[in-house]
Amino acid sequence: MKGLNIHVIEKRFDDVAVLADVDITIADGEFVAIVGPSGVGKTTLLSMVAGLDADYTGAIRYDGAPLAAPGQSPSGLGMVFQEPRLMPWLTVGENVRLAEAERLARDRSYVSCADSLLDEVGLRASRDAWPRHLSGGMQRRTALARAFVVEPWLLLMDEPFVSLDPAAADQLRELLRRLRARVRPLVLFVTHNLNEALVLADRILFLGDTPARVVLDYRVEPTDSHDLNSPEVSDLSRRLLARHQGLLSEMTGSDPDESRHGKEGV
Amino acid sequence: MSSVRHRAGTGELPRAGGRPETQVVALTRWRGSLPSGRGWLWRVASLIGLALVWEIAAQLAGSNMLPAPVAVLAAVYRDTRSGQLPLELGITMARVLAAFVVAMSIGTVIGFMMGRSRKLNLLLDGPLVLALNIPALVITILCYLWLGLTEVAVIVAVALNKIPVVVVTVREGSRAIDARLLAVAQVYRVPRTVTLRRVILPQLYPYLIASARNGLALIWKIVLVAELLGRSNGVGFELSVFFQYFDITSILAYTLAFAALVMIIEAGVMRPLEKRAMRWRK
Repeated sequence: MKGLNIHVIEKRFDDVAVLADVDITIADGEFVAIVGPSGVGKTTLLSMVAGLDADYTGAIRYDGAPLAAPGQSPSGLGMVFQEPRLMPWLTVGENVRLAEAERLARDRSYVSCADSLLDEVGLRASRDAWPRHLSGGMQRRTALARAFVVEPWLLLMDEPFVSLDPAAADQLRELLRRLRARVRPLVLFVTHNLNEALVLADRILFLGDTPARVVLDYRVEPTDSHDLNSPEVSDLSRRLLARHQGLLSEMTGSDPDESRHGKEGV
Repeated sequence: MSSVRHRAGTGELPRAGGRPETQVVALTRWRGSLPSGRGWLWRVASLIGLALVWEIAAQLAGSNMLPAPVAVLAAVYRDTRSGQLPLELGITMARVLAAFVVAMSIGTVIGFMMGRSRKLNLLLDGPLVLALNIPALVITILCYLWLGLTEVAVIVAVALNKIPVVVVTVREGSRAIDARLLAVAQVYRVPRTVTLRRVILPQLYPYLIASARNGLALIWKIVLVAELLGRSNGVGFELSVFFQYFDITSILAYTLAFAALVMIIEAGVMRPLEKRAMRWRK
């Protein structure tokens, strides 16, 4: 089987089954948003793909072979967490270079791309700054640079732009588009904001139900609009919601209006 | 208040330093007392004040039981010129450093592993509490009996006294390691050595530094006892000789000289190390 196949028979936390019967196949370079109410298991699913959580039944494979050795993370993986997760005792540049350590250990002649990535995310001047002196948006840009410095073929993003003001989030989405255009990684992007998923992704997987499964696999109609609140995006989201009414009221949780209005709320 | 002397004060009861609560207090105090320009002025002032009190007390006592600071300084000068004081200081300091290095290395490894593994912690926690509560003197005597009156016995005895204290502190630190940052290292497949150096150790530094500072003060006290019991050189041995001759001036002279040396190491090595390790907090 070609591409990334995530097959989860069951994932439990103690006595509670969180995910069951999830079987997703994603092609190389595809941008997939994973949408669903909070607590549905989106982050858990991402942790499993990242190799951070191996306690489940099922298998995650790439082109038919296990994605990673047990207890390890797949190589060529970039990951952006909900928080920037920078090492506070390393400078911005050192934080980015930390992701290159593996490459450097394998290939002594490898020359760091950290500086050019910091250039791309507009942080060249902050290379020697401590993370705590950066704004929230700058810290997230550092985390993006760290994810792309490994030239990932697989990129996992867990609500990377929440708790930012809308302008900063727009800027980061634009940056993500630019960085992605060059490397074309397969992206799994967790969000609870339907409009964000619509402007970024090729395909949206809606998680719902208990234990969670994929309740809708939706191919996004391409849109030129990058604005979460543009009429075009609102229209897309309205049509989607109209077509899958029953499902979506469950999926978007208590407040389907949240995504319709393009709020950045948590 | 001089934090150096204060720490030395808590060290009077060596075992007390090893209790987790005390360590936490020590850590917060340590965080609060990051060096500032003015701090040094107060330190010097407090030392001068102490010398003044001593001088007045000596004048009031007017006896051999409490020699004046000047008399003690003269003794320091005399024995420094003769070469005896530097020699004895050097011998004792070598033992202190050897025991320090052994205790810190072993204690750090055990403490780190106990903090990371629940099973290992359950296995070793009982012995640890036991070890924390065996008096330094008992360990020293037993080491001399088992290993003979040798250099190795001194180092082993002193290290054994310090190891449990290091273990408790470092265990605390390794429990506090942020799993979310470890996940970053795992996701990017950062090699183990790099993870240790750039992700794990920086989180342990505050605990290691606290442990090292308390350790130096604690260790030199135990070394003196060990020297007094079973060595024929070093400051501890000299003190036993002065004891027999009732030579209070020399006792104070050697003590002061050694305490000064420890404070110099503290200011010249420990503080700069701490400053460097913690510069990102500024």
